[in-house]
Amino acid sequence: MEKEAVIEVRDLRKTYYLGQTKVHALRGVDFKIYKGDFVSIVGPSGCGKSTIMHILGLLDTPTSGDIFINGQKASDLSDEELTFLRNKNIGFVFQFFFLSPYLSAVENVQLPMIFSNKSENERKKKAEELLKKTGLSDRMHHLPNQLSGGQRQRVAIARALSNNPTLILADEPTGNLDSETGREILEVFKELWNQGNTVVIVTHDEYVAKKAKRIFRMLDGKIISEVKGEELDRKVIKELDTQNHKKKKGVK
Amino acid sequence: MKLNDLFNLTFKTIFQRSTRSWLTIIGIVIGIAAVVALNTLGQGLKVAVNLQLGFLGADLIQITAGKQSASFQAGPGQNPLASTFLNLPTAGVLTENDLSAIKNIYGVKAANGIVRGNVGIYYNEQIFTTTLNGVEPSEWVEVINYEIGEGRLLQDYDTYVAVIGNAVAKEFFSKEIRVGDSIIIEGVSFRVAGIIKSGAGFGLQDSYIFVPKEQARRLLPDIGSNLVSSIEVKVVDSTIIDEVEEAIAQRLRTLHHVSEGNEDFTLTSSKTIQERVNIVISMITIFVSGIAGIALIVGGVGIMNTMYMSIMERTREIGIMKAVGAKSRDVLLLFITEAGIIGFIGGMIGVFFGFVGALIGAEIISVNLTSNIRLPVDIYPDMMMLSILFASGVGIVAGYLPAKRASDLNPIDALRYE
Repeated sequence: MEKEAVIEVRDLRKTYYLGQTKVHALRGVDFKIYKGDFVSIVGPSGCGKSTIMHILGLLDTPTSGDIFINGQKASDLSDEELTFLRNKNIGFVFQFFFLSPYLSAVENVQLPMIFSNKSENERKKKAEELLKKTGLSDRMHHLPNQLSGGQRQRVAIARALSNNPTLILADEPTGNLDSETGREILEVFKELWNQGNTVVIVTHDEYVAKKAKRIFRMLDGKIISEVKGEELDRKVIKELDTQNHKKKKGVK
Repeated sequence: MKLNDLFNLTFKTIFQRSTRSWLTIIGIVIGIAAVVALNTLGQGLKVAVNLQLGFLGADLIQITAGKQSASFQAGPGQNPLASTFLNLPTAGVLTENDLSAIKNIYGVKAANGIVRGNVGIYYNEQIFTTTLNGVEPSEWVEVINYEIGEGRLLQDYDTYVAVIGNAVAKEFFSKEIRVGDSIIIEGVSFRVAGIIKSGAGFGLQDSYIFVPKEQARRLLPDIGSNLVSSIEVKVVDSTIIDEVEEAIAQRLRTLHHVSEGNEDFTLTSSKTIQERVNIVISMITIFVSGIAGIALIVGGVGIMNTMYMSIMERTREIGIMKAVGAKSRDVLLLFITEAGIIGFIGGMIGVFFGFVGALIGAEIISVNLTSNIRLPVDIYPDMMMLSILFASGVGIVAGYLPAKRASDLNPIDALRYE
């Protein structure tokens, strides 16, 4: 039985100009992500992994190529319809959290629900529930600047989940956190996946990438390989293990 | 987005970024306060001038020697203001003969011939020069539009008795002149019988000295014994002032052997004064409106500038909202509401400070005026409402552009915006 593709991209290309320089961020990317997938996109900085994430999250538009979300072609949709999809189907977690600085944790989590016209009671209940789930029940009424990086990212994750999206996208969610906190956040994503969510994480950290079920390796705007999480070659695993060993030693 | 969520979010934003919000609001306050203060003062000035004119009385005609009247009706292409102030009177004299003729004209209740000139007054070992008015006491008391403050007015049998203006008594000399004191006018001693109450009309009488005409002639020998400086006429009823004015003009033309249009005298009724003053008032109004207009433009540009900057620097915030599913319309609505509320608050505070500023301004003006004329400061609800509306409106318009620009961006471009 053919699995249901939550998102599919075909020959995705993106070119932009940085001053006078033409930058080919994406040079033809194809893949399908299925319901219940846990995908990591990994590669060195500048390989186009963030660009693809923004396009998947409907935050940016490709120069050419198609994206299908639940079988719907994104380029056929109006701005209003895209916004609707972004609001209902996609939960986005950013490297720099991007919380509204004027709203408390619980209010930030409610923001997507405000824009989808949920009632105040429903919103509050859901936001509190999500913050409890992400381990922030004692920080609900703090402003972002009163929270640590890890706590902010937990708020951002709770916000991403607030409208029960079919797809959770995380762009370097641990990139701005120390390794300990990063690992904790990663566990949150893994737990979300275990609960049946579809998760895509962009990272340059092999340790983070390894946790996923499918790993896309990117280089210079193309996916150069796709491996299953378990199929990581022994060399990489060994390397990671020694790295982790060192890190653990360093911490403790 | 629901309406209560819209306002909830807006107020949270405004109060969370209170420093920035207040700075924006102050920018608006200054513009609106300037406009309100200037307008309130300008209106007060008009009211004050009109009030003063009311004291002149509608039943008085003043006759002066020389022709001035061409200026009252400016010819085509002639600047009425320039002709009012710049036309010099032609030569001409008024005589005792003219005066007695005028007294006999039907409708004239009283006619006071004045002998006027500058004299030196000696009092308390000081000398001060001011204007002496020699009057016919029984006629004078009829035509004046001011009241006695202390003592009494002049009477027909008075000799070497003076009535002095309020400023003469209180301000000219280091020692105040009181009723019953003696003052030396051009070497002749006069007893002060009364002091005029200050403030009525143009306030000219405040610095005048009044004595019986016969004694004034001795002090002012340069004025021919048959001549008078001017004649003040009171008509029996203000409704017939135009007819009486015309009758006087006709009689004087006959006596002076001049034809209509070549008069060597000038008739001025309170009506013509009012006409002249109205020109001045309209000029003041234009001037004040001009300044208020400039303040309004400056204020408006200030509001636009602060609002524009305030929203531009929040482009990333707009990106966040769009990323979590805010429609462009939601974002626009949020920022326009915020801009409108900030404009509204700024407008209200601006109106308040503008009114306070007008009160202070009126106080300063009153202190600098010698007589006790006060500039009335009233609340003009229309103008205030309009100012608040203007501030909110300009806020919204100024907020619209950057908010529209930011909400039209790809969310990721808005997020990346530095």
